[in-house]
Amino acid sequence: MKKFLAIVLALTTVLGLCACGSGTNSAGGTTEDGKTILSIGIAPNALVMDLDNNELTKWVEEQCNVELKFVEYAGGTDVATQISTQIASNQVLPDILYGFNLGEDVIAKYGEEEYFMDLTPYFEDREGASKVFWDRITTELTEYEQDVVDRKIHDADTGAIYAVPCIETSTTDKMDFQMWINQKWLDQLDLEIPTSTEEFYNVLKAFQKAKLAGDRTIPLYGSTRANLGGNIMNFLMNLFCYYDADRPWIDKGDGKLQAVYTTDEYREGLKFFKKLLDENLLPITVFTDTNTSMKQVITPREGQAWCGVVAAHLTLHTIVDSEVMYDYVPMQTWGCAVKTDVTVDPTTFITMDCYDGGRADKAFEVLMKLFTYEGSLRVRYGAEGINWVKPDEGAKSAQGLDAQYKLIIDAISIQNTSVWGKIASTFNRYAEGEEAQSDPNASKYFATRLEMHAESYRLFQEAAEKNNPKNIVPPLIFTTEEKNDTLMTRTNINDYWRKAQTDFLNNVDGMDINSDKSWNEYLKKLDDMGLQTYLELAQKAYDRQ
Amino acid sequence: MAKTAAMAVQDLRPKTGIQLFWVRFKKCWQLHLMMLLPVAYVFLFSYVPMYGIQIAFKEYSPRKGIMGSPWVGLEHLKGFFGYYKWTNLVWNTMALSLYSICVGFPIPIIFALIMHVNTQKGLKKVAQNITVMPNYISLVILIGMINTILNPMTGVIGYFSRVFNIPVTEDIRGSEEAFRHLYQWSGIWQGMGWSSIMYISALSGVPDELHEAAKLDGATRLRRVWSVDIPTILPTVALMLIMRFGSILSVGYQKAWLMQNSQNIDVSEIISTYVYKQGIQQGEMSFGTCVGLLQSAINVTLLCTVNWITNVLTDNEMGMF
Repeated sequence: MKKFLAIVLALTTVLGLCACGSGTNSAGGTTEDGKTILSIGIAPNALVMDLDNNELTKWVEEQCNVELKFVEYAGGTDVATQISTQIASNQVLPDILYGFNLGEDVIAKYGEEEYFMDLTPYFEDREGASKVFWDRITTELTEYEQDVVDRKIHDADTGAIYAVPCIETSTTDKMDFQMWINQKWLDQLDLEIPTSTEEFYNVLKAFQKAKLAGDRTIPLYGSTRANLGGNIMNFLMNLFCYYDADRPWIDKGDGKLQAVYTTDEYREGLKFFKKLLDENLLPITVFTDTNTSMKQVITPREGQAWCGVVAAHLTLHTIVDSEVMYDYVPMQTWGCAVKTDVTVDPTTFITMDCYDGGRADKAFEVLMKLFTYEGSLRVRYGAEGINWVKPDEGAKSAQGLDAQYKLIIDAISIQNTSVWGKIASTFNRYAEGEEAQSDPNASKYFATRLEMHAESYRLFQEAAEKNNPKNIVPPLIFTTEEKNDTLMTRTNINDYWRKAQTDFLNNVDGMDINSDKSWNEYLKKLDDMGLQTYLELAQKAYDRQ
Repeated sequence: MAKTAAMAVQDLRPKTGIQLFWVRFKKCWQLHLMMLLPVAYVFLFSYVPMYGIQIAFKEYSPRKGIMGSPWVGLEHLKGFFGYYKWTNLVWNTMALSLYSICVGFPIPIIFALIMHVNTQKGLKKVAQNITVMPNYISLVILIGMINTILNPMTGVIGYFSRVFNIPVTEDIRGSEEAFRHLYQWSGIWQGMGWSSIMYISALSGVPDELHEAAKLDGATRLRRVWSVDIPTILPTVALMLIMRFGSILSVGYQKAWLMQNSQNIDVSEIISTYVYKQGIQQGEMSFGTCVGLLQSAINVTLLCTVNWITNVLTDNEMGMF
């Protein structure tokens, strides 16, 4: 018996140690019928029921003669952690990393260290490998937009191209800073949609006084923790100055840069925010609510709206099949209506492990296939006949343009097996509001939602004609040397001004936005931290661009 | 076969260390075999990785490997101390640890004593099961529960504030003052039952004779806890306390990170959350390793100090080494 136990123990030990070997993500090789096996790293989406038996997967496999193996990653910011850990522990990366927002610094780092493949040779082959890409860019974008794309796909330091970008020119992505107002409440109180900060304040006060949702009335709702362009700070600050926390620079008009968080307009914005907080026009949860709790507040189960004005992304921060959502109408902004350049998101990468395995050509072919008109349509909406069909004769989109397709399934809220739930490596010239005809049978609310968005686009475009700020600075790209030289200064300054923003609004450590003394101390501390050095560096990068 | 007299004499001769080891090994080789797995585990996962500590002083690039990456000296350490709030990070980490030692450490002991004193077996089992169960809830769910309960609009607090018409003037989730209490007490709720298991097992080893003798001397139940139970588990308590001090700067990042928001960041930013953001997410493994090494160095120093103090106070009876 003792011997038997000893053998069992020894075997367990050996097997246990064997289990410590590293796993692999790489697929590699070919199938029996000659298809190249490619692995794709992707963060799964709850609305996608199956990636393997998926219409998009089948289409790509058929078109490119490949077999796709999916490697699932965590979503959100955890993706960066997961990839960084994989790289640090020398694990094999999937052939393609699809739809990962890693940030410019991290992409440049992994590109320079040769984890992500330099795709320049493919992109230089304009008549061959990247023909689809350049054909679409040159025929569907203006010269200015083409120049933007050409500039943004290159790494500032090395000039290499590490990602196949996702390009979007739709107004859908430009709706960050327009709020939504409760039309029912306005009607009940016989009020008009506000058109200035003063009127806005008065309407909020009227909502507060009327208590149309009883104790639960929230005159203005939003959260500084909301993601995907739904941060209330953006909505409110852009009433006063052009504000983007990730790009905190403005051009003073003479080509000289200034940090937005040192301007008087920014201070005025904070004062207004503080006033709303002090007078309980904003709830105390404005710094703590997450996307989940925002949904519960904006579209509560009880079926009666609690909020007067919502500063959030109405599709992402609401339960879209709730009646309450449709109480709100878009409110044209009188602040900055930022007409962004064409969006170029570097989110899809071919890894060096793929190159080492001799599969890079195939991987690039797959990504270019997604870049075609049909590919992009499939990535965004799904398959023809399942998710969309040809439009009716003479049908128009919600925005009044000629419809190019008719959506027969709600693109946002229905589970399906026709898409991967990530929009990457595509070129979406238009979004559904501009180009799609909606089928009334698709969903009870789908057509209404498209109309709401179309109205919002219309108002935004009008506002942008008047209020598109002239002082916007494009993302500044620093060289590796510049980045390393000022790493600590940049980290300290960026941490401090963001923290000070919350401290001013909460009177932490005696910081008072209405006190000149407090404001000057804040400016002095920024100077002491080396803001001038950082500014000079940013100016250099700006001049270069 | 019976031993000859010569062999018996040979057995009695003094043995060298190696000989002694072999004699013992042969006598209970099964026990040594059982030790193989834990020894291999510690060797593989605790000693072998120490080779990688050198990347704390290098600009590590996995492609170049640990040996091939260039040396940068104390650059990463300077980077950490160059952060304008590094003292804040250290204090926040230590404050959480000390709070945990002051409150989180004694509560499982008290709970174990209560369980030990309790003579109703059924009640004891139910109480133990109920208190151990939260240990199996994941941190993400725990923080989700905290957020749901404390949400002043949609949570339990919001509900009661409306029912009793008491306005909530502050969101506890964003309160700097509340952060450490929330962090610790939710941890105590979650881990109390689990942590008490060790003390409960130590208490089960208290000889009945001691209790009987104390009873004869007229000791009350409380007196017996004080004079019999506590002294018996004191070595275990001392050991656990020394180990707690040995990890005073090693507070995991997950919980603080999940509870963090822009309002409480002054107290919720601890060394590990900072390292997670700057080191792991940005792919700066060398920076993360360097700060980790600094933490370990301070931890080892503290561990040795507390162990030495314990040895001095207990006349070398309760120290770890």
